[in-house]
Amino acid sequence: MEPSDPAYLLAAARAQGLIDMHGLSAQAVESTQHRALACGRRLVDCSAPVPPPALTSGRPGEIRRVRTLGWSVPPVPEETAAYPVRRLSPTQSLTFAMCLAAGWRDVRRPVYPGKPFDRALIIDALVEIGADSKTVKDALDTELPLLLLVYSEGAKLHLGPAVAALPDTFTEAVRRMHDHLPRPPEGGDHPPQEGAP
Amino acid sequence: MTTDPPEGDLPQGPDDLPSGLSPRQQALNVRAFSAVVAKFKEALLEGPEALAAARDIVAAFADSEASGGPTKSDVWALIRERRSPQYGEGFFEARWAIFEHYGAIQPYLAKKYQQRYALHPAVGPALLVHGRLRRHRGIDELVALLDETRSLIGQRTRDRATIEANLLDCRHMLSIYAIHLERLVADASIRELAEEQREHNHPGLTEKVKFLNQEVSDHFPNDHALDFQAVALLNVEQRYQRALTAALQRIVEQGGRTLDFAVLSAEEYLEAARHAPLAQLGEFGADLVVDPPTVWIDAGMLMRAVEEFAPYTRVRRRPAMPQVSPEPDPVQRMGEARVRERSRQDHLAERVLVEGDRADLTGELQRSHWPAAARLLADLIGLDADPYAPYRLEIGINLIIDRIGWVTYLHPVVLHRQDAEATEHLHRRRYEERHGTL
Repeated sequence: MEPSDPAYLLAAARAQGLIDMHGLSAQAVESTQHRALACGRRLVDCSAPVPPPALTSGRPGEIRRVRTLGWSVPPVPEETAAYPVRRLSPTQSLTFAMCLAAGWRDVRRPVYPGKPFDRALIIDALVEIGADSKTVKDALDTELPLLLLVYSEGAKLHLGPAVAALPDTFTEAVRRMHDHLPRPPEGGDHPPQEGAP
Repeated sequence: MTTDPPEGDLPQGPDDLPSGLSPRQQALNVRAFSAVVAKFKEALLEGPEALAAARDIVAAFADSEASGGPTKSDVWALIRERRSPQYGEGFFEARWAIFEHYGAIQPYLAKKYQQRYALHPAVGPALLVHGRLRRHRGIDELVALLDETRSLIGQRTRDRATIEANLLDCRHMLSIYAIHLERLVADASIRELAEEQREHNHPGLTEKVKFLNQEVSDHFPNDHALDFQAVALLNVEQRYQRALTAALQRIVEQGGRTLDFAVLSAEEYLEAARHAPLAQLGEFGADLVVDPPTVWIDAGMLMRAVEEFAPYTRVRRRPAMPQVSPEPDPVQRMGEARVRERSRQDHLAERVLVEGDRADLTGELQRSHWPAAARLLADLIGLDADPYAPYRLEIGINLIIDRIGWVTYLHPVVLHRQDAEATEHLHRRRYEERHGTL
């Protein structure tokens, strides 16, 4: 089986959570997309460190354009509770919620790719409201990157491929409750003004 | 002295029954079964204790070696000794009263105040029937009736009316089963359907009906009414098989589509692993795609985690900022006063030195009133004491006495302006004098 074979690429996406697009022909990507759609999945374009954190020992990979696996049509199997799924712990959920609010500032736009945000601001804000500092740091540095929910690029964090693969139903539901998400204090980070002259 | 119970009499609870049905299904079967002769609602004990008590009572009567039958206390003692009952004596007494009421337990002798009892033989078969009912939903009864009918046909003195009645009963039972299965195929859940389908696992049923039909044709060649009954039974059996096949198809299709491995029991998987051909086993999983467990985040769970978050540690907050009083800082005010005073002294020195770098102030002091003279002299001494001020005060040793003026005596006072170098030199010299390194 060739590394550009759709079955191989889909297996790689399932095993490591993403496919590195470097060196792949457009035809191979297209046939993989067709094969994924045939079994209810879809390839989602996004950025992520390659190799992913689960395959590296501490050293972050190079940020590249990748594809990850999402579901093609709702409801996705996890929503129907047809089988047990892995879930985040309360502190990990809180940390991810704050990352989501920090990265997804304009609810009129799609949740992914969002804007980069400061790791230190997230930690300060969560510790300020009483979260355990060590657990928050573990979530930001280990669990969430391993699950590809966030990845780091220098001192900045970005929303990861797993967020890009979340179904539209998630986006719509969180969009309605976006103002309830915990967020770092305003003014701590100054995003570049879009459309500024 | 007590003896260990024989191996065959080991305590057996209702759960020890070889059962293929869930407790709920067993209870439903017993309810439907007893509805045939029930007089009142809520007249049934649906829990497993009733059947266990009946089994214990049968065993106690069978094991009792008391002459003239056991007493009630003998029966209870035997049950407690050998059966390890999961119910109390009160429940036993209640069951005993019911058994007596229905004649299942009768006095050994037809005498008044008889304390010894015997068990009616129908209780044993009733237990067997209940046991079968809890294993299968009566399909065994149908098979037994088919076998009995075939046996009747084979007898030389066969009773046609009994055979016809049996054929009719079999047809009715099969019709009920077929309708029940069709209803479940239409709207039951796949788990319920799979459980129901297991009850109908009786491979020889079709052959038995076919043989019965053949034997009716052989033994009653010109009896069209009986032949009609046999053919009708065959048709109903085919309908029943179609419903069974539809149930199986739905289980396989829906279960396969949802990859629900629970539609087959562990025994069926074991049976397949032991006896299915290798090629067929190899097909399993050919189209199976395994996804590693990924995290799942739904919006409701996320917002619930946010709302239910409680701090693990006590939050230490900064104290409120102190209220700043509007009056200025005393130290700052003192510094400002010092700056103003120094500025005033500079102006004073420049005023007296307006004509050159040297000014004799003796005359001015003599002309001034005493407080003004003292103030002027103090200012000049202060300028002289400041190492950074470019002034030097010279006070002579001559004493001038004036008994008429305001200042009655004073020394000659001369103020000098110094350049920056001289000021620095003076500053260094005073520093060395102060630290004793000269």
